Amino acid sequence: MLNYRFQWRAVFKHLPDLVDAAFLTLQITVLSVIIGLAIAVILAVWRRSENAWLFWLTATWVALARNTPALLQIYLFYFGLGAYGIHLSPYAAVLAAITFNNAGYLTEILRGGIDAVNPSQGRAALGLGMTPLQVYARVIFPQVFRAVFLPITNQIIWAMLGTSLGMIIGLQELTGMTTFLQSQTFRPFEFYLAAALIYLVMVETVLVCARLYARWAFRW
Amino acid sequence: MNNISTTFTANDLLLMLQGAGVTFLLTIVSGIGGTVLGFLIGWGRSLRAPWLYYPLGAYIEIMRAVPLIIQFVLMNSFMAILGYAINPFLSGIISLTLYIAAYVAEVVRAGIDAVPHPMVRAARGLGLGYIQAFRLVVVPLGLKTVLPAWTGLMLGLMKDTSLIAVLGASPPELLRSSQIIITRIQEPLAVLTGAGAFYFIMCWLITLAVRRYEQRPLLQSLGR
Repeated sequence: MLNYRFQWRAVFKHLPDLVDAAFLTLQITVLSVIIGLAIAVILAVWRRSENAWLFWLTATWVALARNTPALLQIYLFYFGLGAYGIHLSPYAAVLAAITFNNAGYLTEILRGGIDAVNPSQGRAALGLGMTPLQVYARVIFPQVFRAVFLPITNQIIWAMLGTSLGMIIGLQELTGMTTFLQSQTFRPFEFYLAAALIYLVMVETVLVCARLYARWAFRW
Repeated sequence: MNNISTTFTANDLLLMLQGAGVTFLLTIVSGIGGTVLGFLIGWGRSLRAPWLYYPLGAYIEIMRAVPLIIQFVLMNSFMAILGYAINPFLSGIISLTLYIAAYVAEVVRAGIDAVPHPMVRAARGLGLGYIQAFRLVVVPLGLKTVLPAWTGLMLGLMKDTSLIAVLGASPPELLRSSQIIITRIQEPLAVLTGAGAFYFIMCWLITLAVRRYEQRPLLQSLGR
């Protein structure tokens, strides 16, 4: 029934290229999560602000990031910004879009975490003479990160898989590189299977690292 | 952008509406298939029989760790290798169904676990069979806890249907049809914003529909 000869030689020959591409995937993932998390912290705090403008800015960002496909967001950064004379490289477009998306989802995650912290703790810390910045940095956010660590891990995984969309606009991260190589060697099944395995290894590595980090960071 | 005039025609709008219809169809078909399959997988895992628990767990883990694009391409070429080259549209639906089923399975398992065990034992003690207790006690109670998470999955599924474009599936769904229009009229920002608005409205409609269902008195009286 299986009338197909698997040929893995081409895959082994190009394995270094795939690993290089996997590191590019990892790089975009790390950058988009760090920048996205930084933006999300600001947005989540602004979300509670009494300033109507800040509130609407964050509400709009979150709604747009969550209710449109990531691929559409990549297209908007890559093709759409051309209307303003801004021409991003595929790398910059993917990084910007995934960061935008991450920031939206992470804001929502952090908001849930902040809501879970008893508000009287914030008032007590203010009463002890802490500045609002200190209250957030020393009292609220340590508890928030502990509470929402698992959803954040899921978001990191999502970001890593999301970078595969870069293939569609010609970025040679892992999926893009795989597409390029299979088009040269005509072994699509073998190459995509290899890429799937590499993704699996990367995701499991991130999960294990996250678990170890959580055990160390949240031992209190 | 200084020029207000556009070459976007009524036919283009029709193409986009058609695309939105295809997106909706893809979401409904693979959403229903994925929910049924995911329900079976989640239920199977909740039985905690090792020969069922671990293989299904591996399935879930793999589906959630491999990008959907790669799953699309693998499914497509796998069917061809087996000698059943099916059209990309169909293989896209199969991939989406298998993909979302893994996520639904986790949600279902969480829902089953959320029903307190004494409740199930009480139901069994009242003389209900396993199936009866499951259908009359576990499902109604679990449903309420998992409905928001399930809605989120279906919204994600709708957005993920846009990736079917990598297979060159026809008829084109919303994002692909927008791209076809962009190639012709060269106004990416306007068309993409329009497509985004379409997605936004569809997400909003689904959220609204689920919220109305959630607020039905029957479910409310069952919970809490």
